[in-house]
Amino acid sequence: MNKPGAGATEPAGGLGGKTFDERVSRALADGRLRGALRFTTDRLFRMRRQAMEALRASAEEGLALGDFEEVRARAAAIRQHAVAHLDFYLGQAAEQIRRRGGQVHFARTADDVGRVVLEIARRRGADLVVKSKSMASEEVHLNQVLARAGIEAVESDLGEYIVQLAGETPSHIIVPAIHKTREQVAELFGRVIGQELTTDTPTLTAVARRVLREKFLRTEIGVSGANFVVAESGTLVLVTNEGNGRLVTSAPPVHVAIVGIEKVIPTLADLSPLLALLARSATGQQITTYTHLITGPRRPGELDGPEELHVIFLDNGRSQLLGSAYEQVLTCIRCGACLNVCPVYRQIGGHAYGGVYSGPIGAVITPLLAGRAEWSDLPMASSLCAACDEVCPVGIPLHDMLVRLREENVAAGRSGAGERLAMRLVAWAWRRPWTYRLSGRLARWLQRGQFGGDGHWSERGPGPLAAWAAGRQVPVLARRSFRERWRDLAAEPTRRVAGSSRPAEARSRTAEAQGPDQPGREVGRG
Amino acid sequence: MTEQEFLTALARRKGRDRPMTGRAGWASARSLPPVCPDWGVDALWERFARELEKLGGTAYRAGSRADAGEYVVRVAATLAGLPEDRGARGGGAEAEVAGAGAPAPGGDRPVVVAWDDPVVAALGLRDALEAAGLDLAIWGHSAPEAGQQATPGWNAKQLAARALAGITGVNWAVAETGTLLLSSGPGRGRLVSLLPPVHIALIRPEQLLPSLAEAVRRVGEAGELPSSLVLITGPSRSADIENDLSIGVHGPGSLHAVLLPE
Repeated sequence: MNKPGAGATEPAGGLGGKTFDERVSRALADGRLRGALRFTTDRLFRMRRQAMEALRASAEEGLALGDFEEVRARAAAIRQHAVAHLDFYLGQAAEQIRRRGGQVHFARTADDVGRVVLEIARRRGADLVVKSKSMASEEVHLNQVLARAGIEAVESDLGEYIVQLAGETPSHIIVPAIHKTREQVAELFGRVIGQELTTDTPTLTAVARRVLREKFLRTEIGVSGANFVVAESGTLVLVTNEGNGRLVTSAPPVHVAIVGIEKVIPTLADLSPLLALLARSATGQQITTYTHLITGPRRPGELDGPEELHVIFLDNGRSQLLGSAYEQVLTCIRCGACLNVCPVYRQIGGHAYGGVYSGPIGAVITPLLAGRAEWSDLPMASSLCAACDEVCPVGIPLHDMLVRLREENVAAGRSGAGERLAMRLVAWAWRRPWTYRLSGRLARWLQRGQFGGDGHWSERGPGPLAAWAAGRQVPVLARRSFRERWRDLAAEPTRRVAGSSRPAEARSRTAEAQGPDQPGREVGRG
Repeated sequence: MTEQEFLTALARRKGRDRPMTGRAGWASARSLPPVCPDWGVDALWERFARELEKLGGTAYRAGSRADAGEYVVRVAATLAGLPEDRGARGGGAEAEVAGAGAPAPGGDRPVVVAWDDPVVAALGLRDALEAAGLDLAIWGHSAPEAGQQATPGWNAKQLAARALAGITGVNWAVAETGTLLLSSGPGRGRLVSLLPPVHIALIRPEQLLPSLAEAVRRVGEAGELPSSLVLITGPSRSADIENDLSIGVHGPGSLHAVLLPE
């Protein structure tokens, strides 16, 4: 496999560490970061839920296609159909873009994208490129490529601009600078304009507006991504809130869009259910402030809009997923909802993941696109609670994919020696009834005196479990195993007079017989 | 790698020898609700105004054409009279940017830029704006020769950048979400609704639609899409600094939707 994401191994702007464990430890030790994460993810989660309730009300009024589940079923069908017929729709999109005077480039690797953009920049004599938020361009590290060629690349999304000034990488796909305080932002902006700034939001926003406005008007080239490409008309769809996406694609004479090949959808009508879910899933808005549909370059009689439109379709490892067990991950619409509900992301934030994409989606696609061996830690960054599956607006079974990636790691010998030994031991012991029974007895013997008054293991838990038990409640094994109890239970109905051995009754009497202090009851609750 | 090789590689991954052509067998009609509710203008406007105002926009239903004209002039004049409040609550930085190095076609007087659109012309704004000390610049049509486009385009860009307000019509306005749909075209500059700190949109009653899905349907039925079609829902916003909402980041911080009489 080629190494399309080679650059993705660079540590996250000095905020990371060499290994996943180091980055996680650093994030967990950063109290301020964790506070910001909790606040942001809680807020986005709450707003998403309200927006989905509002969607149901809209559906009841006949305005929307249906409630979340119904619209999601349709959105998933659209995305899955488009990805399954990518050869067809990508060909159609390319043809339609060209028919309207746009130019289409196909980039197999990140390097190909850099080459195309540099060639356009050289031809236009550009020394400045202004960008709106684009995950695809982050993936190919375009800013570094341009910088090496002496071309200044400026991020224009407010959050991305802050992160760029700080020399860092985004910590959230939707809110890139959640890890920065307003004091830090004031200092960064103050350095740009050479004066001390107050830390209130209007002042800081006005500075960014002024500094970036000059660049929007001066730049020869605007670079954007695209949220969708409508194949039947070759239309690029950009979803933004600040207006920078519109500026980048409307003010400069050249617009270059870098788009993952998987972004195509069949028709304009198919945009409707996807738009209905994208903003609601991402920020809890019904729709973002600006949804921009761009169909070809400026036409005769128009005074603004780009004279030149380039669309670069980026593969970068995506095509390898077609026809594989992971094909459905290509239907992702990058809303970030899975980040906000993920119990792991909510603790460690985006930088700990180390790649361009974070959260459950990052734990799946970073290994898939940038190398399974190199990123083998990421699929472990999950409790497999499947909250991500539940909120995904296109129904990607993320947690099944995480499990599958873990299986692949084991099969490829990428698990630790201790883990392999433990698993072999379990496999050996649980294959035979007598060793299985023995293992239970051994475990019950080992847990003697390990748990506190609440019937849970304390942090004094044995051996390697101690660290795990420090932050969690470990359920305790019942004093008698189910098999041992079954002998009594199975005998019970025959002891009783026929007709009164209803299961419910039997159950309640058994519970009584066990008494309230039996730790076994805890197992049932957990 | 050529396009054909690229697409063939994709096709092979799906067990096809060559890229599919013709049709992929897709029923896109099912992506839209089968029927659209039939609301009257009052109900449509009531919902539109409620949604827009929730987002910090302003909705104004004009009693007459003269009333609409007066409202537009009032909004623009307020801006001119109070330069410290440009409507963009991001605050006061715009004038400096707009003025920097920009040619001043109408002298140094503050300018309002508008689409070349019958709905704007019908309001007869020029005299009233002039009385308020404002110039009205109408977005032009470029020379058809391709080579000539860069220069007038640059001037138009500078003009829009220094304008206090941009006045446009709309294609559709959506009650469900308070969304405006604006297409580009000759006389219909995309920067008019984007660069000035204030955007004033004029809506005819028959342009009100109940739902976004219906707007998508109408756009599809209209045939060839314009080079730019933008759905605008409220003023420009961001929550990128400590989750604190700020208005007027790059686009207009102030959005006025005016419903014209029938």
